[in-house]
Amino acid sequence: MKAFFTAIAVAVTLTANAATAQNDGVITVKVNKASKALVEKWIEGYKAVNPDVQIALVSGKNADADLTLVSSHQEGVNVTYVGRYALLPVTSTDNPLLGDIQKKVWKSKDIKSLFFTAEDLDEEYEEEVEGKHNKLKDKLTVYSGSSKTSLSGIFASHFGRTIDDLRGNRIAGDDLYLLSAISEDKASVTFNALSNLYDLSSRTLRSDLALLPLDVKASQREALRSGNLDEALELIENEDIDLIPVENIGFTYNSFDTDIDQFLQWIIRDGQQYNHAAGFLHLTNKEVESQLRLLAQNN
Amino acid sequence: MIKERLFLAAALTVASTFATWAQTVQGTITDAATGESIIGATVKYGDGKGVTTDIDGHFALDVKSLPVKLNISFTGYRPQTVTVYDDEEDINVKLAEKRSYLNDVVVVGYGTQSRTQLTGSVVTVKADVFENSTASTLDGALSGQVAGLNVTAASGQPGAESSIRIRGGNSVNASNEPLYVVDGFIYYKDASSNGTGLGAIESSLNPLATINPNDIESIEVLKDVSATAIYGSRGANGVILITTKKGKLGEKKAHISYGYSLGLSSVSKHLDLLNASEWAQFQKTYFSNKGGYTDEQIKALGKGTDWQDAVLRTAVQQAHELSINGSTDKSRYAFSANYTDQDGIVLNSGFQRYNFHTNAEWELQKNLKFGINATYGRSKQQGLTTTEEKVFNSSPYSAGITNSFVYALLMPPVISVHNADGSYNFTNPYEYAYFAIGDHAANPVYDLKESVAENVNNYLLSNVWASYKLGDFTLKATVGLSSEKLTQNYFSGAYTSLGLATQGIGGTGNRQTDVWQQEYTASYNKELGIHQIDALAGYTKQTSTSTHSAIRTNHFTNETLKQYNLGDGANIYTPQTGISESTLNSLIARVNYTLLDRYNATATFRADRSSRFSKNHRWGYFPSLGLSWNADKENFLAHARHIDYLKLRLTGGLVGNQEIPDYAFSTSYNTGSYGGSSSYAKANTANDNLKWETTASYNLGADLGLWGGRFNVVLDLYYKKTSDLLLDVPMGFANGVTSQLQNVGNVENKGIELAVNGTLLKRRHLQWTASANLAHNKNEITNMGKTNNVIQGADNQQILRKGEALGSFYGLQFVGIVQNGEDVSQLPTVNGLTPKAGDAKFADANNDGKIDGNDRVILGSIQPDLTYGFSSQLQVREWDFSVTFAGSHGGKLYNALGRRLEQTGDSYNVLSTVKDAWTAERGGNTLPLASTSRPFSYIDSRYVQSASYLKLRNLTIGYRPRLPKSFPLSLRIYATATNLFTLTPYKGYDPEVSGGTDSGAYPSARTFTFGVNISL
Repeated sequence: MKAFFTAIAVAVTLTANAATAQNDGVITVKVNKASKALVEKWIEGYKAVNPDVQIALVSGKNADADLTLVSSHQEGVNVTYVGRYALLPVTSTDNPLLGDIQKKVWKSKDIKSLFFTAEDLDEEYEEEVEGKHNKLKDKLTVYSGSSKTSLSGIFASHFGRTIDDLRGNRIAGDDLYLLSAISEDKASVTFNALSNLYDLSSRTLRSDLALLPLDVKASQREALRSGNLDEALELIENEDIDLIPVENIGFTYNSFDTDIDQFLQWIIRDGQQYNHAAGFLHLTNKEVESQLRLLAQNN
Repeated sequence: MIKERLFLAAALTVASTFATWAQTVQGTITDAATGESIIGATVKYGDGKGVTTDIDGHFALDVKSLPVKLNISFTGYRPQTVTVYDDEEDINVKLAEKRSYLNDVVVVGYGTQSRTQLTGSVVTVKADVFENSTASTLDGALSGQVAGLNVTAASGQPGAESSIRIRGGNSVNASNEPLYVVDGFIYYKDASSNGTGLGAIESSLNPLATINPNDIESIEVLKDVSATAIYGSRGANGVILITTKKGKLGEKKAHISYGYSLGLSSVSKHLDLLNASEWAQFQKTYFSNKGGYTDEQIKALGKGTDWQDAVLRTAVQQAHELSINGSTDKSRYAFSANYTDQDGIVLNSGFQRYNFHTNAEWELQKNLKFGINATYGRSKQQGLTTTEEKVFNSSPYSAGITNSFVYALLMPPVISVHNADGSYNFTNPYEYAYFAIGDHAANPVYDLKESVAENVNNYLLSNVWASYKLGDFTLKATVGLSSEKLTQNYFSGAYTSLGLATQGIGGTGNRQTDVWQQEYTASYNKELGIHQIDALAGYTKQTSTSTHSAIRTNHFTNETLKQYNLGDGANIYTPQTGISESTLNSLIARVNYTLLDRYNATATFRADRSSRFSKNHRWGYFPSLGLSWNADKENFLAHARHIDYLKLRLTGGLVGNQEIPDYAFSTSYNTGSYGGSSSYAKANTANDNLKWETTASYNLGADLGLWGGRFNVVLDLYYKKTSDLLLDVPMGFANGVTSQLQNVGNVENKGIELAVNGTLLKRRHLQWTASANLAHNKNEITNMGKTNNVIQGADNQQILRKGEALGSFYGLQFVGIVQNGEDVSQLPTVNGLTPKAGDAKFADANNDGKIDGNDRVILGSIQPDLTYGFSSQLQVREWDFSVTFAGSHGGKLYNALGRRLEQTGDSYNVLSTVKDAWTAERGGNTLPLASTSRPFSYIDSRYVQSASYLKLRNLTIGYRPRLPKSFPLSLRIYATATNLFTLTPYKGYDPEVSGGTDSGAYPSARTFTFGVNISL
């Protein structure tokens, strides 16, 4: 009996520790699944030059941390930007409609029509009443995220809409699960960050996924069609492609001290080299200068 | 030890199994548009097991494992599927509303109801109508918005009341005004209780001035008996439910907004009167040329004094408005304060109001809610004194000069406002002592500037309520108080028209009205498969007490403090005081039943016991039944591509009218003084049979939605028959009174109403909507018992007659002017004399060869054949435009002012139309030869004029500049034009005059307003 209560007490203690996870001398960092690989690489790289620094990743809905990685602008909150990500629309290679999808060159209005509810009454009327259905659209289910960390809102706002305007089904959980959803529900589409779409070790598009061919220049389309992550990163970093949403990632902080400042400065100056490896884009030079200046102001 | 290990292993196994079986997925369901929690949404998964969301929109589901697919649905919303892969955070699902008119939830008496389940005729007017309008009272904004709701302003006086009729008038002596219910609390708009017994003040304060239009979230207009029967004895004239703004539960943030507007008003139409040269020439040509003007002098007079301009002005109005609303998880609140200061376009008139309103509710414990609504404010209206009471110097003309504004129109333009030294000119040799004593004549500009005619109203409307949810039952108790204190101040100095004969007259009066109201209701709501039941039962009690007092004195020696020094008046009139009390006890019940979401029935019953009726007739019973059918849900229409919804409605029932004075059933006496002693005079003789006026009402309606919500149509046909009509019946001398209120006769109203609205364009940056409504009502007195031909009005201009409409005009039919050479021997005689060339001719209706009162015929009525409205809103990116038209066709108005201003003489100015009066040289067929002859004592058809009109009520242009995201506010600037134009054949100032007689109503204004709204 005593052992039973001991086991319970140990479990409770462990859980509590995991939840608070903030200890003296340790910088705690909260990340989502999509960014975890990148942040781990930064920590590893930073520790290599600052071996005495203690940095720990934490997770869980009640977890509190010194730094939290966020993937969008936060109203009224200080954010230090540390990289960028891009979103691409995608489907499963097992999608029975893959041929139709890949036959099409997806313009902005096609993406809006596929992913979002009718923008105006005229369009809705044509679809619902006059039966001018977009057949492909009717057969495909859109999956999007509903969690706070989902990039669905970023995708929607890039196309001038809101997250509530997204058609189809939602998932609760990390955006990585959107890819699980489209692998289960074959006739479906979603969108996701490059870090989730590509195999980071082989540097190629995941074999179970196919990108929607976008209406971009031939050379740009070729770079995306190649399925090579580095070509895609280079393309998006160097060219402004209207159909591809690109947004900053950054850290918000609960507290700010020299250790945190040094860590963030290092990420902005030196940590950028790890971004591509994790499927993320570098900050622009202008943004690097701007973020370093803002950090200096924090001191 | 082994036992302990085995136990631990078993416990861990059970715990582990439990964890596998009972993983909890939880979250919240909210409305995508409003952020409000959705209570009762269904969350199902897998094999159909599920839960419904609680009062906070929250749900928790135990599932075996993840991922799990949840299907979330709620009536009127698009269903949503959410696959849950991890439970790291709570699930927040936003449901988007299906765009359909029938998904609206409408406020009905003592509750709310989905429009799909509604059986009655209920029209909703939303807040944007009041936001676009700059009207200071809500009736001003309602005009033209609802088919069958006719708003007629009593005058253009700021803060003045309006007459509102829903589907025509039912009654002669009882009120025809609809019942107002503000946030569930019944609020009387009883203009008859506005007086304090003082008199002499022309306008009364609009009871609706207590409600700031910008506090209104929505208004529901209940038109048919299925909707109004729950209000029983006060439902006959329709019901207007006002819901004020509240915070949105669960939003957890405060919204703060401030608005300021500045407007300039000017008269919308000038009457064309003779100028000084024309008037002097007219005097010289037709009359004795009292001024002794030569032709040269007449030419030199030029335009002279434009007295119309002298008493009118460009008036400034401004308004400030602050509102705060918000919520927490368990409470919501709204607070607003506003200040309005509106100058009138006639000198020294205006309206000021400050108003504080709050509306809050709290969830004190699970299932227990408590709320409070309160409005406190003060309105002040500066109006005109009326000369109607000038009995000491009565003349055939005094009834035509109703106030100093009208007197200004009559002033000879050769008379100046001021003397050369700048002092007021009180010399007018043309005034025949009607408004002159000795050398002193009244000066209308001085009259208006120095006289006092004020209505000041301090009011508190408040109620508190608590509700407790017990399973499917909800118990609710509400207690409220409406307390108003009206003060009337009146003063006319010794140099004013009213004070000339008495060397100044002044007075003050007060009326305190307290209405206590209690409501106790129990409601039951249950969905049982294909059946849905919503039932309500309750008891209400209303107790009203009203006291009033008034005192007047005259013969002042010092006018400095005016009505604040009444003791200076040497003569004291008999003080007027009084009290009246009434109670209304009621039982209410209603059952709504819906089958298969298609077939709806509403049965309503109310029993009222009113102290206003005699002992034997105090109870009134008002049942109704409504049926509706959502035909679009039937298989044969389910796949009709163009039809969104089609609902057919049929209702019938009884409602009543108890809005008569207290104690009308009993004998009463008025006090007075006679020969220095007190005296009593019989005021009313008892009528033990006095009972409810009852209206049987039937409605057949259809709601149709087409083309994906793009086009909506509402069509209603109705028939109303009011029995036991409350009528002041003339009595013989032996009774000691001239009339007695009796239940006599019937009135019928039947009509058709059509309302359409449509979305013409709806794109992200371009939205265009339009709505229109049209209503036809036929009003007819079908029975007057033993009484018939009751003639009414100061000029005996109206008649109550079987077969005619209420408000019918009665007079001679004008047929032209006797021309030179015409065979006058063939014409009927007038007062025994044969007409001569230049005299007016009238139709000899009874062919007896003479013109007299027996030749009077019906000349039309105040009832319009058609009323209509049109409004449209256009939004283009940051710009918005809105326009509202309102119109009326077929009604008549007695232009008493026009009649007075075309009456020629040697004292007063006239309309320039008299320049075309008949002369021997040029003839003419509209106005007789100018003379000092008094007009016929009967009105004639020339002055019963068409009151048809089309008005551009409101034209607004707004702009919302795009501000940087870092700006924590939004801004809208706007410009509004009100009453920009009126198309009408009516020859007076404005065809909108309630009551049907325009004896010089305060003219309406055209207003340009500029404003800004800031929201945080």
